[in-house]
Amino acid sequence: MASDREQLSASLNEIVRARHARIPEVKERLERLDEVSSRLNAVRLAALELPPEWTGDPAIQDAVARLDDSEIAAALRRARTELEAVLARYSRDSINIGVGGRARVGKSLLLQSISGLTDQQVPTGAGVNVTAVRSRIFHAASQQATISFHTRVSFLDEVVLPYFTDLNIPSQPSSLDDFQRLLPRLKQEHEDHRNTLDTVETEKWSRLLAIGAAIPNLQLDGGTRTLHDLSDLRRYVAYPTTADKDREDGDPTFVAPRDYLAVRDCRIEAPFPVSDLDRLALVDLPGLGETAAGIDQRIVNDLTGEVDVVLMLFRSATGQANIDDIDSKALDLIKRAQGAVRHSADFAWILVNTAPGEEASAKDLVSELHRRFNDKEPDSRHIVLQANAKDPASIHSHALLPVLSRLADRLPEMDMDVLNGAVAAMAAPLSRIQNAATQLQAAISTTAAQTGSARQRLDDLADALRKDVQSSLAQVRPARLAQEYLPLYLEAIDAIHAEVKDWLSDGLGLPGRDAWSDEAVPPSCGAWINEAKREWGLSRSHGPFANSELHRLRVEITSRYATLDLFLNDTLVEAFYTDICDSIAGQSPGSVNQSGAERAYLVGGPEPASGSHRLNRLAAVLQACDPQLPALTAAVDRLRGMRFDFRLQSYPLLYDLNRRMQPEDSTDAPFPPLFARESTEFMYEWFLEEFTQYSFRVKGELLQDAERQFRVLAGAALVFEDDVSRSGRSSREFRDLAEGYRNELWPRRFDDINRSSTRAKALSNALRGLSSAVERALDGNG
Amino acid sequence: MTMTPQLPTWNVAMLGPSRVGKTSLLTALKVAADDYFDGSPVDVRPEDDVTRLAFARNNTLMLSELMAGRFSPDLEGDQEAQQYGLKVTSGVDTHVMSLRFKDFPGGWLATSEESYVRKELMDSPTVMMPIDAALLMEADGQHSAPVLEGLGLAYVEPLVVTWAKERTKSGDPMRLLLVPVKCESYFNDNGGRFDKSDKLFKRVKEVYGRVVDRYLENAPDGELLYAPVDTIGPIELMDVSWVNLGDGRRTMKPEYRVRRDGSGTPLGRKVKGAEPILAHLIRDVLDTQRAALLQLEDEANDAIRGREAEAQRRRSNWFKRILDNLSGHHEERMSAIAQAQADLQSLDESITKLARSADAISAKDAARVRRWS
Repeated sequence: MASDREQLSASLNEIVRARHARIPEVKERLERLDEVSSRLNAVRLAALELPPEWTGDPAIQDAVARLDDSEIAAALRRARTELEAVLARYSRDSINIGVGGRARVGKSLLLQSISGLTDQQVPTGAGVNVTAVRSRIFHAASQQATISFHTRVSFLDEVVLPYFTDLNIPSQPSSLDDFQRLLPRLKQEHEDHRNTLDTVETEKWSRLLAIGAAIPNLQLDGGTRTLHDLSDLRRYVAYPTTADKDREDGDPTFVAPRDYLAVRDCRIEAPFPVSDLDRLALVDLPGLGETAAGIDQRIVNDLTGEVDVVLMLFRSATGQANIDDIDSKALDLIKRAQGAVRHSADFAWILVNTAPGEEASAKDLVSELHRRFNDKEPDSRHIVLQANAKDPASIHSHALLPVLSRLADRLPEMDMDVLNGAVAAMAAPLSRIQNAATQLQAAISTTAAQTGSARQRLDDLADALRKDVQSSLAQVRPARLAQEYLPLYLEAIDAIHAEVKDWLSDGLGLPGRDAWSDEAVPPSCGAWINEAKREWGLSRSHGPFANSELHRLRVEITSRYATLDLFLNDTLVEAFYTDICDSIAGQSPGSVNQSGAERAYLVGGPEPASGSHRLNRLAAVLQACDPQLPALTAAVDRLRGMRFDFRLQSYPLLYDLNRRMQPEDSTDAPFPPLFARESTEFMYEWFLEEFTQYSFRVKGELLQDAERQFRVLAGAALVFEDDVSRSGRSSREFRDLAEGYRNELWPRRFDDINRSSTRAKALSNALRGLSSAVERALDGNG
Repeated sequence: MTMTPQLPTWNVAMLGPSRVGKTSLLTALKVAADDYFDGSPVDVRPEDDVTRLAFARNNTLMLSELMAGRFSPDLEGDQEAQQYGLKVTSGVDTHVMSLRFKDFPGGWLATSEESYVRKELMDSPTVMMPIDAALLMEADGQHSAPVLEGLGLAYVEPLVVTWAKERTKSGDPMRLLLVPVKCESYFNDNGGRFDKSDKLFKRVKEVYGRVVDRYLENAPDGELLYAPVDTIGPIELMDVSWVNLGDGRRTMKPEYRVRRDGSGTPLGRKVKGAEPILAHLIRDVLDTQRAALLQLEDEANDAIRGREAEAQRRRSNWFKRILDNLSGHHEERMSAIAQAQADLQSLDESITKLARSADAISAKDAARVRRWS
């Protein structure tokens, strides 16, 4: 027996651990659901902001109404309540058994038998309903009770107002003070209608008036009270005793204490006799079938998430006559609390309290229970147990262990049922939200597209802008650049030629007097001549040295001319970019501006930004445009990538010249000439003249070719103009550009449309947020 | 006696700006002729002291420049109209071809009487236009103004057009000579290593195309010769700079190097391309003269026939024959007839000899000559 209980205890521990492990998942689902609610509210608010011309659209009206449907809101609240119940269920450290039953069936005896508490803590009454407050009893090392009290608000909402609802009293109080002011009138009304009331109504009127009379004596501060001596507990959990009630009836000045009214929750801890079932907790449910207002819903609320199983007590001594509609209703309430748990046999048990000597009548009761609640099929819907509630051993063996054993087996599946049920409850409202959001989004897009005049106006401006830019770009004729920059380019070439001549004159690049130099030789060429003479000493000929010098000097001079790249790219291309940007900005002479666009936005101002900086800005603006502009972006990128490369260009230009500057071993006309041994100085002069002439020829070729650079720019300008304004996508992309930068290009021109558009966009964004939230909430729902 | 069987003077008008190198060109013609006709009876020499002196001075200057290993073309320009004469003979002193080169520099033309210039031009069957090849080739687009100014195109074109019209109207022959000078840097047939002759021809056509077109429009039968000349030979353009003249104008300042042998000794003057010019001048003269000669022959034959008829009339009877013999008239007439026949034959021989020489010389450097169209 002990080992069975140990195994049972281990199983229950594992169930609690598994539940805790799933808490994050449930919390995340709650957060996602809350996000949906929050996003839904944002959509509602954004929809309210829509201008009249939008809200007048029937499609938008319909879609907004579908989203604003109160059923959706209610379904979301229900889904949240279910998830909260799941969270509460998974968060518990205990396996909770709810104990219910009509008055006088031995419910308190049962609780006492399991918990070891006495009549003082769990009151029993002979033939009267004594349990006024739902109590939870936990296994603990010592006895203790924690009483949580209502606030005045929660007392009004949860205790007072349900009576007004049930009794159809029209003027509901807004506060407890208000309620107390109403009391005389309520008494009068009760007196006036006393004869028309049925029993239940009479009972409810009686309780409502008693509550009103008790309020001044109630602790309604929302606080808690801990009782270490459970002998004081009874007043907080039980109805007034019969004696007090009798006295109250006889003495109008006496008001029986009704502290239980102020109690919102009661947690009792006590060392259970069966200590190894330390995960066990009992929930004392107020008597089913009571007349207290709102009690049905309170039972369902209490059961949902709060208990894992319900033990419904019947008393055999009362006989079959007691199985009536009240019992059926009680089981129906339990059925509602069962929620998503698939098998009622797992959740709602029936215990027939059978005292010794009542076996025969118990047997009849069991049969009747099966007939009434199990369709004559024993244990098909509810398992029916028999035990003596007063006998702890009987209760343990015949009630507690069978229930817990089955729970140990079935709870994991029941837990999943509950979670899946909550998740499934979310699916329908979420889908409805999603559909309505999609419909509204489509309606907005349609309306936006149909705002014809604005679209047409923008398209007309875009077309005019394209023609303006094309017309301005057509003014970019590199002839102007040539006029300004050709002289500078020629000067740059001249300057290099002058440098080369200086360099040549300064000892052909080997300046300075050598230690062995001849005094007769001018200092500037001393090193070169000495080098030549040394070489003669090695090879007995000027040939090798002359040939090597031919190469060295040619390469050096060509390299110096290659620095023209700096001018071409840093000065000329920059100037070209500036012209292009000025044209795009409409700042060049002859620019037209039929579109009235602030085109400078596209490329920025002319100063102090360089041409390439402004072109980079244009590229960034185009790249950032929504919608995208692939053709325009590519055209600008091509222009930005333009680079002159002197070496590459000079290959064909200087080919013949350089070919002629290679050594020629000809007997008739060798090149360089065959210098005599004593002609070293002349050889120096020859190289000086030959390479001065070479540089002059290179310069000549470059000068003759100079205008080609400007033709390259002319070609680039024409291609860019074509790409920008004449390509197949040009018209469309200019319209997209106009759409993307409408306010920047035409400031204030679209203010009216902007306001509407901004609000529509805000709604559209809110809808996107809602859709995303719904998708996240639905994620994993299958 | 109307018959004068001598070669007449042939006028060549030279239209070119100052400093283009006209004296050097004429000297080059003489040098080329000396080289070519050396050892033959044909002789080309200065006709007068002015010419002789100018040629000598030019030649001396060139040689001294070359010997110094430098060359500066910035020689003093001619300020006044001058004439230079070349005599061409075939070895018979009485049959001398006289070529008169009349120089009309731009500066002078601008201040001269138009009627005088026109008259002088109309008397010239040949117009020679020396062209500064270096200026034409080395100036880039930035220097078009100095090029036009340097080439004197502005004043040349209307003169050429007037000349063509007038000569055509009177049915006189004519030839326009386009003669680029200072061409040493653009040919590789005279010691140079780079051949830019095509480009030179292209540039001449670009710049002178309009002048030539208008010449041919107005003189459909007019002759044309393009003949570039190296007037010096062993020089190469080494660098060019542009100098501001101070009045907003710029002028080209070329710098030449002189070719030398392996020991560093400068090479001597070596004219190239002048022969075709000389040949065409001679041929033009001869063609004209041959036509004139045919007329002279006819006239001479008529004269002989007249004299013979007169002789027959005077000696128609014995008495007349005695009288004729006694008076000496008979001898005189017979001598005149014989002289006329001899003169004609001699002139014809000279013409034939010169024509052969002209044909031979025109083959030399013919590669440089280009058909215009």
